[in-house]
Amino acid sequence: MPELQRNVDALMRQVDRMGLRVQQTVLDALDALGRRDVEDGQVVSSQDSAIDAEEVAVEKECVRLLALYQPAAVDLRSLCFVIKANNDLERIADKAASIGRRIKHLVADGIDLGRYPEWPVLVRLVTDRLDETLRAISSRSLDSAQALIASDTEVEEAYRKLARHIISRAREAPDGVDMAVTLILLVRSLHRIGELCTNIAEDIVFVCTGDIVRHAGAQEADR
Amino acid sequence: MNDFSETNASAESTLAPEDRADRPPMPAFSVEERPRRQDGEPVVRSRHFSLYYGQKVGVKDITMEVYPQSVTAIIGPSGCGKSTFLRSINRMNDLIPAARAEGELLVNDINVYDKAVNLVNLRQQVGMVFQQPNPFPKSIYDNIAYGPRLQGHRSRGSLDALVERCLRSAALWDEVKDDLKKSALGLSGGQQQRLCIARALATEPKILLMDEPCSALDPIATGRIEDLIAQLKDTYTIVIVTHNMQQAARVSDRTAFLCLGELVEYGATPDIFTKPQVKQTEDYITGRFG
Repeated sequence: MPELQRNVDALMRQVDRMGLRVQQTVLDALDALGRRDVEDGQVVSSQDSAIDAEEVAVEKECVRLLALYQPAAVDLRSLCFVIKANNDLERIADKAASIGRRIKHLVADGIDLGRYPEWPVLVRLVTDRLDETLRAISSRSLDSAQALIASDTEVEEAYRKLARHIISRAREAPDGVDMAVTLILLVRSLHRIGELCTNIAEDIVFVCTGDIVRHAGAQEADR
Repeated sequence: MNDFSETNASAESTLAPEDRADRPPMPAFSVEERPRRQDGEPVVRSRHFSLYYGQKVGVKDITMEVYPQSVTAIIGPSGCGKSTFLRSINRMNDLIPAARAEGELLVNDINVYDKAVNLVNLRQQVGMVFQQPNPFPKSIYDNIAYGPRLQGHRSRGSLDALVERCLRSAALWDEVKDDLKKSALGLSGGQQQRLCIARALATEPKILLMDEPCSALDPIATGRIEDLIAQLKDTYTIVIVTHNMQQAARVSDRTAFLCLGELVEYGATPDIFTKPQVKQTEDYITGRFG
C-alpha cells in the first residue's frame, strides 16, 4: 500500500475517533442539562480544550501530507474532507461546551424545559443525526450522506417551531425576555449541531464523487 | 573541414538545390496552406489511430482531440505509447523502418499520413523538443538560424531579428545576448533545453511537441521550462509527454492517460487529478497502480 494511502487511512481513523469523542461530549452536555447539573455542565465545557488540541494536530498532519505528497484524486479529496470535517467536529464540540456552560443560567433563571414539548423532539432529531453522520464518515457511504442532506429540513422545522414557542411565551411574560434569550441561545447551539452534520454529509459526497454540493439550493434559486 | 560558422559565405552553395532560395514552390497539399481555423476547433485530431512496430502495438485505436493555444499532457507508465503517439503527430516514427500507421491523425484537418503530405512542411509546422537537450555543435546564433536559413532566409537583419525573437520567446535572450557567437555546448543543461525550444520556434510552428523536456534537468531549470510553457501556450499549441504527474497537473489544460497503448481517459486536467472517472486512471495517479 502506498505510504500516502496509509497516512490518509490513519487520518480517517483519527477523524472517526474524534467523532465518537465529540458525540460523547454532546450526549454528556444534554444529559447534564436534563438533570440541571451545573457542575457536570462545567466538566463538559472544560473538555473542549482537549478536542481543540486534537483538531490542530489533525490539521497539521493534513498540511504535512499535502506538502510532501501532492496527492491527487481520492487521496486529495480525502484530505480535503479531513480538514473540513475535523473543523466541523470541533465546532460541534464547541456547541456542546456552550450548552454545558448555559446550564448555570438555566438553573439561575428557573427555566423549565419541560414546558416546551418541542425540545425533546429537537434533541432526538439532532442526536440521531449526529449518530448517522458518524456512521456515514466511518463507512464513507454516499447514500447515507445524501439521505442526511435530504433530511436537513426536519431539524430546521423543529428548531423554528421551538423558537416560535419560546418567543410567544416571552411575549406573554413581561420579564421573560432574559429567559427567552437564554433559551434561544441554548436551542440555537443544538440547531447548529444539526447544521454542522449536514456540512459533514456534503463533504462526504465530495469524497465519494468529487462534486461540491454545498449551497446547491442557493445555486438552483439563482438559475 | 566543415565550417559551421555563421559567417560562412559559401553556405548557400553548400545547400542542396531544393534548399536554396530559388527552390521550387511548395506542393499545393501542405499543412500550412489550409484556411485559418476557427477559434476553439481542434488543431490535432486522431481518429482510431494505431501505430505498430512490425507486429508489436505501439498505440492502438486512439481517438482524441488537441485544442489550440493549450497544453495537452500525455501521462502513463513506461512503455504505454506516450512517445509513440507524440512522434506520430509529426511522423518522426517514419524513421523506424517497421513502423506502420492505421487510422487517421489530422493536423489542421489534413491527415498527416496522407501520401501527398510534405514532411518537411509538416515538421516545420509541428516542432519538437526532446528529452535530452540536443543543441547543434554550433554557435548559439547558428542553432537558431539554421532552420530559417534552410527555409531561404538570407537577410542578416531579418535573421538577427528572428534569432532575438526566438531567444526572447524561450526566456533565454537576457542570458545569452552578449554571447551569441559562443558555442551552444557551453550552456548549462537548462539553457540548452531553452535553446532547443527557441530553435524549434524559429521555423514558426503552430504546434510544439515536447517529449519529457525536463527529465534531464534540475528542479530550478525544470521550473523555468514550466514557466516558459505557460507563456508559450498563449501562442502555440503544446503537447507534452511527461513521467512527472505533478508536472502534468501544473502545466497542462488537458491530460490524456495511456496504458498498454490505449487511451484510458482524457479530460480537463483538474478533473483528471481530482475526480478521474476510470478506476485505472485513479489507481495510476494515486500510486496504487501495480
